[in-house]
Amino acid sequence: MPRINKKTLTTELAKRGFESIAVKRELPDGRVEVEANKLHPVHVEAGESIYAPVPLSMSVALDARGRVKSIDGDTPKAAAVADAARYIKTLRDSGQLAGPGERAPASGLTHQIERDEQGRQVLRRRRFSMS
Amino acid sequence: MLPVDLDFGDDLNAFYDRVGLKFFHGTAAGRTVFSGESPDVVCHELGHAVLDSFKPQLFDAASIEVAAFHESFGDMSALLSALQLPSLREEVLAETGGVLGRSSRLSRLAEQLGWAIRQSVPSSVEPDCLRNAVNTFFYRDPDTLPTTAPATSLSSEPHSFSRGFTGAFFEGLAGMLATTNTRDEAALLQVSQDIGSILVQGIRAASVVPTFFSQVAASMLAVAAARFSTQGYEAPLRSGFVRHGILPPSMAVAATHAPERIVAFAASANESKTLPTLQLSVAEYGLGVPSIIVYAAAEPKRLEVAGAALAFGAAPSPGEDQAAKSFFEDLLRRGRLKLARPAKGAAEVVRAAASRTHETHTHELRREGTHVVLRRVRIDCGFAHR
Repeated sequence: MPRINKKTLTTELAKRGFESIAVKRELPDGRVEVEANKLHPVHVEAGESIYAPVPLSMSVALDARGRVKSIDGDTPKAAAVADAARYIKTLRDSGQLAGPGERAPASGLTHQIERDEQGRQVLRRRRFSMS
Repeated sequence: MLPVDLDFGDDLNAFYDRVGLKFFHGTAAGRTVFSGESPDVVCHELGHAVLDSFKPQLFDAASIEVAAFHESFGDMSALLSALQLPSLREEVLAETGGVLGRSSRLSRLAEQLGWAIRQSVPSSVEPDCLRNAVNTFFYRDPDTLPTTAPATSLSSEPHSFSRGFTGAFFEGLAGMLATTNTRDEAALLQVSQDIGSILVQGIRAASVVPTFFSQVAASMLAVAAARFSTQGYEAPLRSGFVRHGILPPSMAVAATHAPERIVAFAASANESKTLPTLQLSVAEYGLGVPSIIVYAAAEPKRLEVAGAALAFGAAPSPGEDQAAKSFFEDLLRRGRLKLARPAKGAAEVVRAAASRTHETHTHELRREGTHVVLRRVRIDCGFAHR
């Protein structure tokens, strides 16, 4: 059974597009349970898609050298994607979401839509606010 | 090192942004309010930073409940931080008469900031504070809620939606204090530290899923059962979560039980299908009896009730079993059922704020021959919502 190197595993998963990676535990079959966020397209109003960090839990199989061999559960579940869509709507309706190109969020804004290097619109939290 | 800016600009707000903590000043009704002067506001923001330090995947997660939990954690941090002050513990116990579950200067969060916001948007905050941890909000699927609402209602907006979990947590805290022998400020300090430990361990164990509230709650119950069993914290915590709908009673019980209990629960669910109409399976509540008899005459209105449809007439009525079960579970949630000899781990809801001078339950389970029967013992006309 390969020894888990959390740093190596995290780096490998980050290269595959996962964010906020947390290695939870080693499963009895030698796989590793990992929680992470994955940028996933969420369809919002008027056919617009925004990539949102959607949480998921996956199990990762490692090869003998401790590198990622396969991943189960690397696609967010439908419920989580629906939750993300609802979340974006809530942010917009409550005035907490700034659009792309807008300046630093004003009062009450917590999130911003950014263009990443691939040209995608990505939802990013900028801060937590008191109210 | 987390930089703090005590006056970052003009706003009635405060922020945590992974760079630091930022506080503001704002003017309302001719008075200037500095959010950084409020311990509640400071500890709320610091709470975000603390949670972010050990559960960083929550920061960016696009999930209503996850975001709402972050806000709840901020408020819970403010509550528990305040309780580290001896003078505040003494004052709150005096103010509430020792019944911590009553609204107090502890439960009323950010009173000054709430006042300032109220001057311009009265409906967006509580009448006497920003948010109150003593509340009666009951869990709803956030998908069924409006995205914004006045402070009197829940919406899916994270600060608004957070209040259900905070309310359950605070009720659990109050109930934990009630389990102590002395119920004094030293005991309050101890339970505040214990529930903080339970909370953090519960969060660490919880999976990040859309239904994050229930994940954390179930994990907290498991922690309480495993590590604080001698203190008897399970029951009051469970009561808080059940009364606020964070967990259904059956799951709240199952959360603290070994897997074999869960298997037993599944078996009892099958058993209930063969029971007569008004014989209710209640095995999942851990009452020590597999089923009870509910007499229609005991609760005629509740068992025969049908709600009005939006258009006209009555809405489709649930079956008798469902209506009776709903009623029974409602009694459990509201802490209105007295158990003669509750089994260990029973889903008994302890009402932390219930009077010590008289009983306030409305129903009892009585053994009559070979059956256990649900009987009303009184009608409680008390106005208190607790």
